[in-house]
Amino acid sequence: MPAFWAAARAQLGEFRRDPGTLLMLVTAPFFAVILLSVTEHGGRPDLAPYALLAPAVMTSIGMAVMEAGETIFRDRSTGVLEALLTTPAPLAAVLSGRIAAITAVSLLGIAECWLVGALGFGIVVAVEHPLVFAATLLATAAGTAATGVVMAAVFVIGRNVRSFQNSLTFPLYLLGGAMVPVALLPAGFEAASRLFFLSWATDLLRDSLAPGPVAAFGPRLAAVLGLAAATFAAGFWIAHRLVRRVRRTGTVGFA
Amino acid sequence: MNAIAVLRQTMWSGWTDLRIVYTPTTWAFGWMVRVLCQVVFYSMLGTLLGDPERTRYLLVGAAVFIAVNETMMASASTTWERMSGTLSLLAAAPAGMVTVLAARSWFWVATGTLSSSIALLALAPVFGLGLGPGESAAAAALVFATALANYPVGLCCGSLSLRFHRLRNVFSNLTLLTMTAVGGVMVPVAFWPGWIQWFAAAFPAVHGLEAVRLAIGGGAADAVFARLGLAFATAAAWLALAAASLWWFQRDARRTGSIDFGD
Amino acid sequence: MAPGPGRGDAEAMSITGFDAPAVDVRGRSRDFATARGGPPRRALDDFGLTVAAGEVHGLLGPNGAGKTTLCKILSTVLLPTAGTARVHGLDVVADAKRVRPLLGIVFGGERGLYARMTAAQNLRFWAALYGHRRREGRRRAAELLERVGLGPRADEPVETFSRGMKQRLHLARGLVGDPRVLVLDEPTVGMDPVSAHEFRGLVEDLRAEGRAVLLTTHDMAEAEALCDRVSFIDGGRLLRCEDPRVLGELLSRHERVRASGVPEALAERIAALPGVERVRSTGPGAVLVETGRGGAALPVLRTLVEAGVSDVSTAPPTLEEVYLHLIGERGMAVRP
Repeated sequence: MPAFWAAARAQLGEFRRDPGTLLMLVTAPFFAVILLSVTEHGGRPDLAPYALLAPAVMTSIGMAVMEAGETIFRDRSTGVLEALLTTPAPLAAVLSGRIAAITAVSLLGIAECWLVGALGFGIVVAVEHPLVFAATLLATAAGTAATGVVMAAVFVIGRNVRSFQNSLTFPLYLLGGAMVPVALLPAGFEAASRLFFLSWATDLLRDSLAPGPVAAFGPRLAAVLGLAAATFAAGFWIAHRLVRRVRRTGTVGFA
Repeated sequence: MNAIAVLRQTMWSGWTDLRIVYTPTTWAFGWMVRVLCQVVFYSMLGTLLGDPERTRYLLVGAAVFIAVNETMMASASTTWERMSGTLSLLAAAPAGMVTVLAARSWFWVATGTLSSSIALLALAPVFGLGLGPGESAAAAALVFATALANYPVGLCCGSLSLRFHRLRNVFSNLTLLTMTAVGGVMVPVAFWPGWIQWFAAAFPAVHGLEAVRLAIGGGAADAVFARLGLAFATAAAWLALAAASLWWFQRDARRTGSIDFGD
Repeated sequence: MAPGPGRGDAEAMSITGFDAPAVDVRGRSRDFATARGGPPRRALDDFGLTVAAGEVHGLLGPNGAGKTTLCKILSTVLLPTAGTARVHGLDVVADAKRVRPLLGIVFGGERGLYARMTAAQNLRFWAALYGHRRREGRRRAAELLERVGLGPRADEPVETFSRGMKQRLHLARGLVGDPRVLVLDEPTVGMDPVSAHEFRGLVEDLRAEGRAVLLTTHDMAEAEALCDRVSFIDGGRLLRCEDPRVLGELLSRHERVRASGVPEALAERIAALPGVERVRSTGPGAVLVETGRGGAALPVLRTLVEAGVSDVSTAPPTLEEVYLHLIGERGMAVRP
């Protein structure tokens, strides 16, 4: 546990030192303006919650992909990662700490987007089912952090994987149903997207903002949590393999 | 100075930079996948609204702006001269650094045109936009013109990135998103208040995109060329601004000592 | 089109006087603003220096002494806060455009080359920036690559080169504009001994061609071997400008002897030998003997060996120690 908090604090310090790492939080309001202008111009004020929720979700998952991968990559290139592996703290604790901090900071995007709606367009989105919203948000944060762990682990293991980092955001937005529910995707894509926790999470978050009753809340939340847990497990398994490889080869150098 | 020789050599060095950014594999399976997903993401907004006309509008806007997106990467690549440690050597060379910095990122115009045209032509049938061979060719040519016209905007961001290196991605992203929001990409410019419309008109890409929309919408040739004229006129102003800003960076760096040997 | 910028500016130089020294620095100082509005840090302080054409002038000093600042000012990358610097009579501030073609810059390390381009492509790029046309650029690139021994590797990307090869390419790059003055800023840093030796041979050739070379280094042996004159600088000030033989003399005068397994009584005997300045204990039975006179190390060695001590080595003094002696002799304090 001390390792977890120390890693989280280190990550927060990194945000302070290098404001460029907070790029996603800077771009979130712009995405809110872009998406909200589309629904407003289309004469569909009922879709405003979609347009304000989407950039917040995109910010969270985007930061998990970009920042989580980046921090661990930086640790490796500066040799910090090797030093880290010599300490008694499990790598999983350090990874989780860093990524928890990233995810927590990324949730600020929700407030930003809500403010864009209220101040820029005079649209105040009410949360109709606060408990559903809060529970789903927590589960979503867990899933996002899990995605971050997988990304970080994969970026460290693979030499060329990092070139794909920048390319992952929009495919994940699409498969996660960030703006458009995955039910509107072609059948094959929809099936694939159901393996990604975010597609369940965004549907549930949108439902929690709508006045109608939320159908099958329990099973759907369970789907989010179950997939998030599976993602965590995958991330830690890869991280564990990385540690074993380092112990064997004596270096965290490129594959 | 023999500007032509400098340009030719700079373009070659830029080309070798491109090979650091992409291998054929990462371009095809990384970047192009993202490009297609991005354009589908925005086009699907039309599906969500249940309006095929709007879907096509969003498709064209999102696809053409891929070219704009890539040329904005000139912002980051302008600073790569620091990465190779050649900035101080350029500062000390008789030809100076302005020409080299201005021309080194040209490859984004080429790759931007390519990925943007592929996205537009490949996704048009998917979202019910019929494009004949003539319209397709005109669209690709105008996408190139748009990328070219937007390049100086990327350079202006690049000159800022040279000064504030850690914010190099921030400048280009904010400029790109501003253009995307108000430039007639997702919703017509007329949606916004008058002062924002004037502001949007300052960006060459906004006129370039309008030219593409006119050309594939069966608009008159002179209307297309008028838009193109506006795109290049605004681009010329941005180019002057970029050159002044780069020159100013070079002069200022000498005074403050912000360029080190090895930078 | 003028054949090469070096010659193209000959006319300009004749106006200001071709006989002017290659490099002439007077009362040059440079302040840097420090963070949080503190008093400015002075990297160069009232600095004066002259280098004649065909002279290899060494600029010797520890890290942070102000060597690189001077090089940056001369190569027109940095403006001075006060004073003047001239290259062949041309002011580096007022006439920067005419100074640039006269200068070649080479700095140590692996940076400053385009890694993905081949050696020949790199040189052609810089040839264009120094005003050469295409054909001339190709010719110069090929010629220089031969000269630095990279001819067979001309068409290979620089990223595949060893450090020594990159450094040779750097030198070729510095020569591409046919400069009258070469500024070499710690060019042999990190070079292996063989490469460094070859590099020195190239510098000798440059002198023979009548080019002025300003070489910064903190390697005293290199300065002694290469330079016609050596300037010692520290804290941005010129301490002394000397014949390099003075340096050689300093090096041998302050030679040090290291030994282990030395009983206390033996150490005391050594301390009493003529020319021995100090005997320091560096561990149980280990001593470091500092001498202050040429040849004083020899009796120390003899005494040690005769007493049966076999783990003995000698070493030249470090730059810092030579500086301490230099400063001590002039009573000048080094500023922090």
